Amino acid sequence: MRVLFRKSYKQDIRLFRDRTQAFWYLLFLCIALAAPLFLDGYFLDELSFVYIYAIAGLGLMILTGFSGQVSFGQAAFVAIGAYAHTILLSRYGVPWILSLPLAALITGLVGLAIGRICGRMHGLYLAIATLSIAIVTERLIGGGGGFTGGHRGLPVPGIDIFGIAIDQSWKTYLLNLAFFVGAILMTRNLLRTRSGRALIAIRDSEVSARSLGTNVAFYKAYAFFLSAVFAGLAGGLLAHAFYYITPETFGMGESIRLLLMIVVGGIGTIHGAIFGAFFIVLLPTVLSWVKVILPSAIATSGGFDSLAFGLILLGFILFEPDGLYGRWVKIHHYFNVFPMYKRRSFQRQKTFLKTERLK
Amino acid sequence: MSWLEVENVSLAFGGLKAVDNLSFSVEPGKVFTIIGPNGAGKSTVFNLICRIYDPLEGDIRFGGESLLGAKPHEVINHGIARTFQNIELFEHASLLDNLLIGRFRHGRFSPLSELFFLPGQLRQELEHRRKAEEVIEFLDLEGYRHARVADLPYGVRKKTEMARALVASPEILLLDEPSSGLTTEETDDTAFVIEDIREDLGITVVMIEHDMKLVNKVSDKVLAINEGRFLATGSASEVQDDPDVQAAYLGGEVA
Repeated sequence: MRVLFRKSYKQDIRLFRDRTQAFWYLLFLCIALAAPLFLDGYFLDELSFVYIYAIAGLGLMILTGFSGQVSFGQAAFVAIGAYAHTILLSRYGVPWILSLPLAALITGLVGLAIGRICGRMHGLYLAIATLSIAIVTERLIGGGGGFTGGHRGLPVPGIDIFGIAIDQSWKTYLLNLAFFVGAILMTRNLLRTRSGRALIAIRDSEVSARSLGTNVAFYKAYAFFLSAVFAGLAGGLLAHAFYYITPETFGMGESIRLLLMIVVGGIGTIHGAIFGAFFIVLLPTVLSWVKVILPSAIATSGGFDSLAFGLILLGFILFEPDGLYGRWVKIHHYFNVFPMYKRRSFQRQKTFLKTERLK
Repeated sequence: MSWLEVENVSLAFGGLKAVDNLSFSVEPGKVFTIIGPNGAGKSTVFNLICRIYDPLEGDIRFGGESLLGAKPHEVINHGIARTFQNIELFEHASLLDNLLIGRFRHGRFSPLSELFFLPGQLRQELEHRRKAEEVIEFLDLEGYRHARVADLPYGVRKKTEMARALVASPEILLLDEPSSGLTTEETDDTAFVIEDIREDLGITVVMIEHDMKLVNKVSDKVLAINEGRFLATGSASEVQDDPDVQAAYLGGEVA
């Protein structure tokens, strides 16, 4: 078992705790960068989807995992980002490199407005409010007529950065990877500075966050803003991955999928959003492999994928509420302290009871 | 130096008068204790000072400036920090993170600098950390620095809350029942800590407390209230000898 000796305050502030950790993360980054050399187009596209979903997931993690506001409306922000980007590109001829940040900003501002309104709500009421936002956004885009293309949808122009066309799988893959890494770094930076701590404070106790000087309404809206910016960015990238967008692409089901994604991944952690994205994007591929060995009566029945997804989700909620990342931490701990691992190490016990709360 | 003055303050919840025309003032550099039976309105007084409730009438001033114009999150900027009766910590964060949140008022909202971790951030973080470490040392919390707050024993949680308030470097510290739920040893320890806060850090302490041993040991001045009304004020022994106070605690005819 390795013991971490802290010799400087900077060790708790830096991105990586120590050299070993830095080594592993940089190794992963190198493998990800080199992936086009040994993976074919299909898998590169799949990984692109993972990265894009992870960006949207990180946004939702900021909102739900860190600031504690449950949102069933993340896909609405993804849709706004995708449509803003596509419309800016095709209708106004805005250069790609400007259009994407603009789309993210527009989405962010919509998020800010919604955050301002929803910031007063908690729990169930917030869930219902955000759910209705998802439904309304889908309807609005569908009813947008010629401007949004209505239910017939919009074709998405190709990516063109300073005259360089990003038209092959490996090129879009690297582009998505760059945004993905950027999103992780930003989330990480948020968490190790003042605003990120304010969000966590609000999640755990609004009354004491306030007593320490946090403007709760402001930071809740800020969480909505950041979450929407990430979603808008993901939306812009996703539009290109789909080539053609319709309002149904970003329906209520997609919002729920995103929320389940961060729950399966492990709520309240950056890793959780990423693990969840891998899970949700690669599951259909894995299931298609499984189907080969199953009897055809089961494999070809319509609801098989949904059933498998539902069962896996149920399993997580029942047996591993900390999600994939929580499971990974346990496995890591198992080998770290081998052969002294005890299941009790991760059992949380309440040492006292909370009586009343000021809300 | 600052003075905390509560002047003719009243608050009612529906028909229930929680605080009734209450006045008192706290002198700088002193330990001021509020005592009273359960439901006397002690915590309500704290919540009034912290602007969680709006008084129906009266004024609350700190350093000559009225607090009534401040929003709840602005109270700390006047130099008033508090703890809660039922520990309100950030459960899923480490003790260190809890203290760093306590530094909140000593920073500015600068989203770009934070998201891109511009060079100034590291300097600020180190400064906050140093201040947090000072308080960790002051309260002997070294062993728990990186532990998750939810996993800490009760006594340590109580201390952590005090630490979080101290990290904000307030001028006045409101302690809501600092000894409730603590063992005898921990309560004795708390008495020394409160004395040190006053002597070494020069912070004025206002506390609500039931443990009379602790009250006698540290208080410079005691205020007794019952049903939101003023009963008596003075030194700890004067207040305990007051017939109104005895009647409030033990029952019987109010003189």
